[in-house]
Amino acid sequence: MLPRAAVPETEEGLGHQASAPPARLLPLTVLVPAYNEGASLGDTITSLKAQTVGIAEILVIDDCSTDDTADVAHALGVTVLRPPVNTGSKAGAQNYALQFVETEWVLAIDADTTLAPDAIERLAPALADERVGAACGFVLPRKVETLWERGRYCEYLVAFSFYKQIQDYYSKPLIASGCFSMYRTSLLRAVGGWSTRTLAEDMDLTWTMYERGHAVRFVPDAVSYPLEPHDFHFMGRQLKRWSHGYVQNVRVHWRELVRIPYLRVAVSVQMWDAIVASLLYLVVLPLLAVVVTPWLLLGYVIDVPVVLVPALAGAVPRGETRRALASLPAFFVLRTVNAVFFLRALWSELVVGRTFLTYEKGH
Amino acid sequence: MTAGIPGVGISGLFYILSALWMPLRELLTGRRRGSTGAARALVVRQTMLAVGILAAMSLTAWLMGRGLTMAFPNLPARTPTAAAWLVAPLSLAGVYLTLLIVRFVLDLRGGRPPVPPT
Repeated sequence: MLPRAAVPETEEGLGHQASAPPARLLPLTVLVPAYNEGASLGDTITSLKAQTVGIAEILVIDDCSTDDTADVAHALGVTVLRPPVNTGSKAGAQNYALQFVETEWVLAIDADTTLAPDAIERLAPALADERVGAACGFVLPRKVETLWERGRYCEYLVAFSFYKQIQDYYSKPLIASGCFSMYRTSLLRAVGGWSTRTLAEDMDLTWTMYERGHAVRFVPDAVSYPLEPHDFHFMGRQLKRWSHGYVQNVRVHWRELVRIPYLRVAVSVQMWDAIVASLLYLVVLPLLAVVVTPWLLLGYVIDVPVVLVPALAGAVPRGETRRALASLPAFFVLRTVNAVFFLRALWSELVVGRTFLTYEKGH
Repeated sequence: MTAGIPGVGISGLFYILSALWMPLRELLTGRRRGSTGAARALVVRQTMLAVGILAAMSLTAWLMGRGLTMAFPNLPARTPTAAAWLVAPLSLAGVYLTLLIVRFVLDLRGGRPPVPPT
């Protein structure tokens, strides 16, 4: 029996029952962790109800919000769970709900993320293979207006059009993104759900799956659209969470990672790049530009082709060529800002030994 | 590249090499792995992307080499380009070698058994 929040059920009932009859019902429960997400949650639930396949249950975990999150969820006729106290993190909220899941598969989606109508239908077949523990899809920002959203748009285009598809070919997607991923419930429970020991619970879970011998798949045709940070305040919080989370995961998993083919190289070169590139952008290039010649500032954009070619490869089929080209400069701004946060995370986690585990929402 | 983590240097090279290896891997082991038409289409697409990136990088390196030799007339003409092409592969090889050493040391110290294949 689900401990539903004490709000009267609507006439439409619970879950997807009020929606048009789905063509095919999947053994799937969707978890939507939400803390003060009243403004965006409605779009998320609506897109879930518009899926081309049926969903057994939609559970919104209202993590003791102080806004109208629960009211929005109830109005749309989905089940609302409310932990006794705020769990403090997305992982905590998801773990709270996991005990109530009765279906073979479970899908986690952020409360600010919407899906393409066929996203779940396209993602689900990946889990038909019993070896697969998790599957994730393509991610694109829903809004691409501000500098920060444009930078992230380019990042996603490059990462999901080129890097992640190669990772999947070698059976090692680096991360099943927490904003939209599907899991085999039994395996998820077997690994202990979403760990709260790092700030990147999705990366932690993905690497744990590999360590236990399970497979993870990336399905590029399953598309999700999260709201990305629109200003520096929110972007800073997200970058802080992600950079600390990455370093924490490397620290937690490195002994096991060195035994996992392909993934070990992917993580190592990423770590090398993150350190060297950050020092290059923030220390070496400015110094050399002053001491030697300003020409060396070209180093900030020397890798334009590595970004431009895959970004266009992702944008052109979507009819978004102009948007991608217009967003490209923002990528380089975001990357330089990112370097600051990454070096701070490295210093804090590995040098000073001050682990940052306070979950700050930043989309 | 992972969104939120800076840098596309040697990881870019690593993925380009990974993409260029895909057709050979497909030829060598595709049938045994039960490779599908979708997988082969992916191989073609990613290989073409890798070739496109390499071509664009070559053009950029050439342009930058020209720029630097104009700024520094005494610099040998091929030095900037040659340096750019050498540093990244050597760094990648260094990272890979370090990984092998770390794994070897862990094995010597009686680390955990290898992870079973997926």
